[in-house]
Amino acid sequence: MSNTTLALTILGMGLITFAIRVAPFLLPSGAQLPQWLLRALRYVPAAVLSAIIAPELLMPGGVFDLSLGNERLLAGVVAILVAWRTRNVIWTVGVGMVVLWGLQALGLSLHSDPPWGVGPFPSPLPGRGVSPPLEEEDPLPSPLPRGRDLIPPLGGVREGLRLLWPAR
Amino acid sequence: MASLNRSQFLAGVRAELPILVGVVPFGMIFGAIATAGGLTPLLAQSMSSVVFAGSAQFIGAQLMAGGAPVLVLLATTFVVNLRHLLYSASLAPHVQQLPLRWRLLLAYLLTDEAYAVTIVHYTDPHSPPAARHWYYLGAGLALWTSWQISTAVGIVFGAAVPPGWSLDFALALTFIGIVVPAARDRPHVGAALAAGLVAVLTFAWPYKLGLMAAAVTGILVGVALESRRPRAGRRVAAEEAGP
Repeated sequence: MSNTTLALTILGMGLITFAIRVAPFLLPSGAQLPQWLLRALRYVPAAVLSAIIAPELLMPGGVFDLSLGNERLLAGVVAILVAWRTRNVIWTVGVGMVVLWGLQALGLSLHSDPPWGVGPFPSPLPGRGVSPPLEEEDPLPSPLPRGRDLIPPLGGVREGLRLLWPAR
Repeated sequence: MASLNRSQFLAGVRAELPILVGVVPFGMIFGAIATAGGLTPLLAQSMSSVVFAGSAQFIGAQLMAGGAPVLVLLATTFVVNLRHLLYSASLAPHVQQLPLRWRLLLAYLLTDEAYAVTIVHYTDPHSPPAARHWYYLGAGLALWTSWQISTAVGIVFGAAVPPGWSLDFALALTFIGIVVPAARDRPHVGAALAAGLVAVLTFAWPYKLGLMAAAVTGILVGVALESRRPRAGRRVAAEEAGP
């Protein structure tokens, strides 16, 4: 694409974005979007953002990797727990990055001196059999080391689980 | 009155500051990736000021580097930014009385991060109703300014940041911080899981078209789960009433 085409494309992207943002503000006072649209829109953030997150965690470098050797997946699961517990973006980003860096440093040191000769983690998710992909999107802490070891005051998770799965 | 407006503006800026810790690395990554993908510095910077929507810019820059058709770029922008319609719809009752220039300005400044702090302020009974839009303006401008500066820094110094720092991961983490606290009922969790699953399954589709498929699937699953189940309030009432 030429730079002119790119510039026009960027302008178009900007106009679309602005139109989405401004439309409800221009409705007459008291008017609202139709209910069915609002209802569907409620699921847009969860759907779109998860569609961006899932490949970031499960497909680092574009290759599917559901194993304990996938540092981004582990850091992401920890971040999901932190987000669940604290409801705070900054804690989520901070803890997630620190965990990722820690795992990367650990991975480097293990790789430089492999204790088993087969890499740092011999088997992926031992004992869990075939896990459904996207386990990491699920706020349930099942495939992880116990959440309470990672974040001390974890009492709220039980309430959270009851909210999520009231039938259990 | 002027001092109230000013203090509200500054309160909005302050509320936004913690969020900037996640946004600034993301802006720098965007500047670096956009120029590395072949955009000129001017185009990369104008994307941050014209589009001003992090995730759409990020995906747009990747699509441009991959030579995607213009139509795909526009459609992807629409889908990725559609969530802003939800934000503006929920803020609309609070700003519909403002003069047009205010509404245009505030709409331009509407992002995930600005919405997150602003809606809390608008629904806080203790905040001064006549000056809440100044708080919104403060939050929005704080984000806008840091986004522009961090993009510029990324354009200039992008190549100098070691890839080993994995700063691009801050984007996924920011979104986790937004999605997880909001996913408090089954339809939302279902929508998130379905969208994530489809996004992984369709990852190989060209031009990130799988992203759109994933988003649409997630929305449909959320709506379907919601209509299949009774409303949460009634369900709780029914459980309390016993079998």
